[in-house]
Formats: sequence, C-alpha cells, structure tokens
Amino acid sequence: MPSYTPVDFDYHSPTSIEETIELLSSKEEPVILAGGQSLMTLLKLRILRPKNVIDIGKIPSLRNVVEEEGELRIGATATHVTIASSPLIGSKCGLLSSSAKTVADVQVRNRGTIGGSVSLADPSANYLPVLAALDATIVVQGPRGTRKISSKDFFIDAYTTELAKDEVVKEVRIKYNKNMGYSFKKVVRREQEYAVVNVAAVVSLDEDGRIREAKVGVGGLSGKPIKIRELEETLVGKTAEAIESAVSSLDFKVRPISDVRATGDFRVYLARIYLKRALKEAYANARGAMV
Amino acid sequence: MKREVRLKINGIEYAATVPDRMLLVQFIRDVAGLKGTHIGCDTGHCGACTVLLGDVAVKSCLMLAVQANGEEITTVEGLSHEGKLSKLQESFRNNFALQCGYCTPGFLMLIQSLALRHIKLSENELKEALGGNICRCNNYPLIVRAAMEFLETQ
Repeated sequence: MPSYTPVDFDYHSPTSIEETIELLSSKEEPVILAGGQSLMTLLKLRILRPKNVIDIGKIPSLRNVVEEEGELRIGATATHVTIASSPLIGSKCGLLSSSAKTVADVQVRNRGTIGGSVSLADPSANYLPVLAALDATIVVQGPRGTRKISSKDFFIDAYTTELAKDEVVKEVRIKYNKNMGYSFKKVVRREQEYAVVNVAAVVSLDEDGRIREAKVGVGGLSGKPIKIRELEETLVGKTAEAIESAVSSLDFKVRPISDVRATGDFRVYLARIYLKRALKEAYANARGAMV
Repeated sequence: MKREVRLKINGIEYAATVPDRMLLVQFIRDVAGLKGTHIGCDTGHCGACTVLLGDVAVKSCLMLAVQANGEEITTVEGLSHEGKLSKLQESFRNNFALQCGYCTPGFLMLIQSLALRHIKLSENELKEALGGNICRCNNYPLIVRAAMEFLETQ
C-alpha cells in the first residue's frame, strides 16, 4: 500500500457504550475512533500506532441531541453539521451552533464529532472557548462508572484531558439561558485553517440595559481554553461602554502559545481585539433580544 | 486483521477481503479500480478525494474502507451516464473550470452534494462551502462561475 497508511490494527465496531468500555479494557493499545477527521491523519502520519481501533460511530444512542432537566445533552458522536443545523441547539444555545458552523470545511463537518474534538483537545478547536465560557459538563464513562467533569477540570493542557485511558466521552451537557446575546469569533490566517485565537462571549441584560451576567471564554491563547471570570465580574452592572477599558486592562494570567501561526504577544493582542468585538456584538444581540 | 468489505460504488457492488487499515480512497482506487478519485495531500486538507457517502460529501482519505461497509458511494465516475457528461461536468467544460484537472473530481463531488441539498446558495456561501477543496492552478473564479451556473439550473 502507498506510504500514508496507518500501521496494521484490528478494527472493532461496538454497538453499545458498555461494549466499547469492555473493548477499551480488554484490548491492547486501543484508540477510540469517532468521526476520524483528526484521528485518521494522526494514524496515517503514524503519530499514533494503536493495535486496536474502536469505532464508536455505529452506536446510534451516542448521536442524540436532547434537552433534559433544563440542559442540552449532546451525544459524543453528534457531528458538527448536526450541531450547526439542529433547531434545538439553535434555539437553546446559538453560541454552540455558531461555533460549529465554522469548524474546518463542509466535508469535515459532515463526519467530525463534538466528542472527538473534546477528546483531542486541540487548543485551536472551535468548541473549547464555548464550553469553557458556558461551564459545560463533559460526561465520560469507564469501567468505574460515569463521571461528570466540568470543562474547567476536563481540559488540562494542549491535547491533554482528564479522560482516563479506559474511559470514553459520552456526552456534552450545557446549561443555557436563552435570553442571552452571544458571539463567537475565530481568528484565522485563511478560511478553514486552524484558529490562531478564538473567543466566545455571552451577555444577558437587565431591564435598564445593564449587563446582568457575562460569560467569556478564550481558546488558542494557552494550551487549554480559559474562562475569564475577572472580566465577567467586572462587566456586571455595566453597559457596552465599559467593554473597551475592561478588556484593555485585562491580565490574561497565562503563558500564551508561541508557534508558527503566531507569537505569544500577537496572540494576546488578537485576543483583546476579538474579545472586544465579541462582547460588543453579544451585547448588541442581547439588546436586540430585549426589544 | 483482514475482513470482507462490501461497498456499492456508483450502483455496482464491490466485495473484497481487505486489511482493516485500508482507507476508503484506497478501496475505491485499488480494489474497485476507479482512478477518478484522486489522492492529493493525503492529510485531509485538499479535498481531491471527496466522494459521496450516501448523499453526503466526505473525504475518502479520512475514512477506513471498513467504516463504509455496506454503504453506497458515488465517485466522479458516477456523474456521467453512457459516456454523456452530467450537467455539472458540462458546466465545468463550458466555463473552462479546470486547468490541470487534478482537483476537479473533488470539486465536482462537493458541488454535487450541494445540489442534492436543494438549498439556494449565494456566491459567498458557495465560496465558503468550497473551502475544503484546493485548486493549485488557482482556477477558483471559473470554478465558482461553473458551480453557480450549474446550481442555478437545479
């Protein structure tokens, strides 16, 4: 076979999550295949050399998107196109839909999944700042049962998560107040490229048009997505005029990534600009929703 | 490990015992012998290997053949009928939407998938949708023109 071929492995396609966990524990050097839009490249470049590939793409229940107990529950193998076009997600959490719409390209959105994106934890992934801002919960399952992990604890560093080797991401849960304005912004050198920095902002207002609650997440700045609580607290009770100075004086308190795409300083510079834009847009949207 | 994989490509059933690690694009090219689906970058960026899985555009270099077991695939060979080019292909020819032609099968399949969705796209939306396909001859304006012309007739 030609050069770019994965190492030889055994393929498994479990039909339930229990069977998946059984395979994860019993098979040597396993890896989970969800949509495969990042994994296949890692396999082909032989960055990963697993002995067993467990395809969770054939488990129907993992694809479900439902609303339960006032929160959105998005199955691990729900694809980006599903998330971008789901009327339920669109009406309950437009921020997530809007971030899903600009993941990579059409073909990748057709196959790529939210569970895969979360498990890989690429610092430039669209979902990460959104999940950080909204304090999403990642539900994982393993031989010791189910764990609900907040995104704050789930993402540890670039490509590093709290997920144990014998566990699989089952669901992403998001609590959302629908009367909020939102904005997702992604800085890319070219369309479809990996983001240099991406930001997510959500704002809700009181009757006087003052900010009641703000939620802010930034991805791509450091290895893991960050929720900027300091800024969220500063903005409470203020109007759009406060955004400019609050973001300008913000200390991100992270060591920014410096790589081929951007230096650390440039990332901080971009994060400030796009945070301002996103917050202003979210504020304007929230005002629009009030009228 | 090896296993039997059955795929219906352009309406014809192909069955072969292939290694688990075989990519869908390798099955299409080397097992079914359909060389119209091209391997460009082989890392999922260029879109030259785009095929339809059901009626959804996917990059066949980012999928295992076994993942598509039992599914229906359409490749660029499935567009023309009895030697007669499809309307989309005619539109590419009329607008000279290709130079070297290497990326063309991928563009054709992606645009075909857009036509199957029956959504009216603006030129900007079309350009966004074509973002996963790269043309190194930089023939984008003519590809967009050919695609718009074709999509308007749909």
